[in-house]
Amino acid sequence: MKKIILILLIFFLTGCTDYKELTDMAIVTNVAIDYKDDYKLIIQVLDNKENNNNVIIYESNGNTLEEAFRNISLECPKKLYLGHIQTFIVKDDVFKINASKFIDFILRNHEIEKDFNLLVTSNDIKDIMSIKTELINIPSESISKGITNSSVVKGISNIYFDNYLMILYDVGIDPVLPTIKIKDNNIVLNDELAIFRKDKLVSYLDKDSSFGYSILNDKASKSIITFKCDSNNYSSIEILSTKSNYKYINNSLIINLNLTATLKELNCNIDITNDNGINKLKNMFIDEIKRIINKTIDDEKKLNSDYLGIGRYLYKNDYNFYISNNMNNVIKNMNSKIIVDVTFTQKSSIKKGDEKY
Amino acid sequence: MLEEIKTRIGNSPDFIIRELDICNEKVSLLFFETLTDTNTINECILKYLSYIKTRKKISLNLANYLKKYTPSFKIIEVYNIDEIITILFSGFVVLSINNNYYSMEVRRQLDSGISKVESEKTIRGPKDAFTENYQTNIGLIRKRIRNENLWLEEFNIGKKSNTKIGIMYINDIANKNLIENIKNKISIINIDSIPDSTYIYDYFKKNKSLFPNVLLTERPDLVSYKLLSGKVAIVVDNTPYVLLVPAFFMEFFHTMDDYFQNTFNSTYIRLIRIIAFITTVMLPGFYIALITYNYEIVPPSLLINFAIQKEGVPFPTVLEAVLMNIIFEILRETDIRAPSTLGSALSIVGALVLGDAAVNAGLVSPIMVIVIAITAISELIFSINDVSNASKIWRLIFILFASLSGMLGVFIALILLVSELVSIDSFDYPYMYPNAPFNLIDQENNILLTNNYKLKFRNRLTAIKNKIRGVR
Repeated sequence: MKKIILILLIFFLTGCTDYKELTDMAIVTNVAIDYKDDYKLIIQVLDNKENNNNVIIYESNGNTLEEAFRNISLECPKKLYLGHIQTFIVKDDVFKINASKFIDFILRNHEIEKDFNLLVTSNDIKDIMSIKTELINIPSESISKGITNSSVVKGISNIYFDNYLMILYDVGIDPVLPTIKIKDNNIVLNDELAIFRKDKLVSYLDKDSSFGYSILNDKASKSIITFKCDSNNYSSIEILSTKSNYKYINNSLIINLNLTATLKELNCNIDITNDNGINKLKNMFIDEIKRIINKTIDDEKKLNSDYLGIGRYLYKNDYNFYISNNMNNVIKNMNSKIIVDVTFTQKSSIKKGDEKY
Repeated sequence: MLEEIKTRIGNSPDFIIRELDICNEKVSLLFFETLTDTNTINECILKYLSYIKTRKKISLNLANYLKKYTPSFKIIEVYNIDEIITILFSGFVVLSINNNYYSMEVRRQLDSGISKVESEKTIRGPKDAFTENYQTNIGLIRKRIRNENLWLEEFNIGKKSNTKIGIMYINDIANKNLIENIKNKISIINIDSIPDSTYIYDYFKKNKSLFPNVLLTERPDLVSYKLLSGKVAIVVDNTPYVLLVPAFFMEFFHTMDDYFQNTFNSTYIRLIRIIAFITTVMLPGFYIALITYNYEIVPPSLLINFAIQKEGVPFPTVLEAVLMNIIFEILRETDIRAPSTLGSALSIVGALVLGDAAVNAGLVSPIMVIVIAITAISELIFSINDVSNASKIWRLIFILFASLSGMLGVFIALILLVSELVSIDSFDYPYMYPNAPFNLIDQENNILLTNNYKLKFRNRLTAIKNKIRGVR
């Protein structure tokens, strides 16, 4: 009898809520927004007519994002399904003028999953959305897979929307976002991070500073560091894993960095069979890392955005100091000290740098 | 007396009374020519009786003489008319002299002989199967366990058919309470005839569950294995299937082949069978839930695949699934019932209708054909029909729930299925035994099968004495 009651409950209380046939839905994978007087919205919808994985582009305007999405229904005969948005591209003007008010729409919509890639671009969104990607036909998939794989270059951080939100609403830390741009009529990932002060876009970090950000956030594993080992030759070392922690003592920031690394390419005449050669290589490597991290810290001081989270560190560890001081001044006036400890796991089978000559 | 027997039997033309005159005494032979081996009667009994006639110097008591010297391995004296009728129906010939009645067995071979296993096939192991003959079946079991502790008790059930039922168990392993329980249940059976052992099984069943709580098998080796682990076998006359009680759910995932092969292989195959069961019960419901409610679980590249395939199909997914299910069941049923000569024609039409044509006509999506095909193949993995029948019904329940509320419905149906399975008992033994009342040692013959268990242990629950193999 209980079973029958349970079955009846399902019939009458929930009966077919949320029922939607797949063929009645238009699956949105890529969204791009811009703001000039009102929101400009461009979406890419998967084309399920044929087996070619194409996308169809729809555009609309609206005073709110919700209105803009509704206006798309004038063109698109199917109901929009937002559960599979993979990338959300935002023109940098939106962050400059209207800040991040569009977040409200995303948070209120129960259908949107919050693990898409949020990307900033300085190009026109219409140009970006109309580009056809070659290897993977669906542009959003091409971009999100590209971000995941590109960490081998300079440690471009794979920052999802929910990571962004967590940092945005945290105390004493400012978010960063990856950027994309158009290059030779193709979408490429920019190795320059967009940095914010709270929700306003401040500037873009250059390559080195972005890389420093990745190293300090332990996201740089599998990326390589290339440095000059003598007057005109370069060598590359791959970072296998990083472990970093900060300390702030007496107006100076102490960064402890433990790295494991492996030699990938050696073009100088350094004998790595003995400790001297290895130490020489190590020191050059450490110098390069210190240079990169110092660049990142200098940018933090200069750009007035606490993306490294020094404010958060102080808030957690020294609350009285945090509330009694202006964080901007603290960051501007702090000294920094970087301690790097490197372990080489393997040097590959070529023993001497000059063996091959 | 003879007249009375004749009228009681209703003057059946196959009932024969052969009257002889031996030494001036009237001797009658009573038998059914349909049940007895008339050759034996001619060759042995009649020949012998006529031989007596020629020797004229017999002055002793003819009745006693015949009882002592007639060439038959078994002569029983019978006294009243009921006994005579019963024994006549068992294929005996009754000899009547001066109101003394002696019966001799001259049974005719009325079955097809020992045949090969048909439904529970194995790669290795013995190939003989039970037949319709009660004696043969008992013999097939006795042949495998030559031990004085293999006990047999007989009952006659069926007011009209008078079918013989034997309970077999191993006295120093099986549980006495279980045997008493079975005897009680058999004694209350009140029916005119028992055409098949499933009739007894229906009397044993007390809940309305779809899953069988006895194990039906046609393999004598399986019966002997289970007897040795403390189960009780019920042999029914005229049925090539022997009942084994109690049955546990996990035993339907075991076959006799598991014990004949490398145990690692058996474990892997058992795992596959469990996956097949889950697939056959859940897959269509799961697919419907994915494609009509919960897209968020599906990765986008897979979802676009689904969408491309579904494009242009006018029916809702639920209807599609039910339609394909019904078509498949029709095909299966016709395949069983149709004469074997029509088989190939049937399979061509079935493959075309189910596969290509339906997809090309836009009636069903190709992916639904694949889903139903996988489901149907997975269902066939069970040699025991009752389990696949149960999974068929449960599949429909899953489809219903999934079509009402998606993944939520699938999980509600799953909870119902699990609660159903757990609530079944087989002769007061828990149905989900090595899992639901958890037993560590019996886990080795659950999904897993280890060599250690295979050679060493009996089932810890059913074998109450001598739990270790090889002690005696």
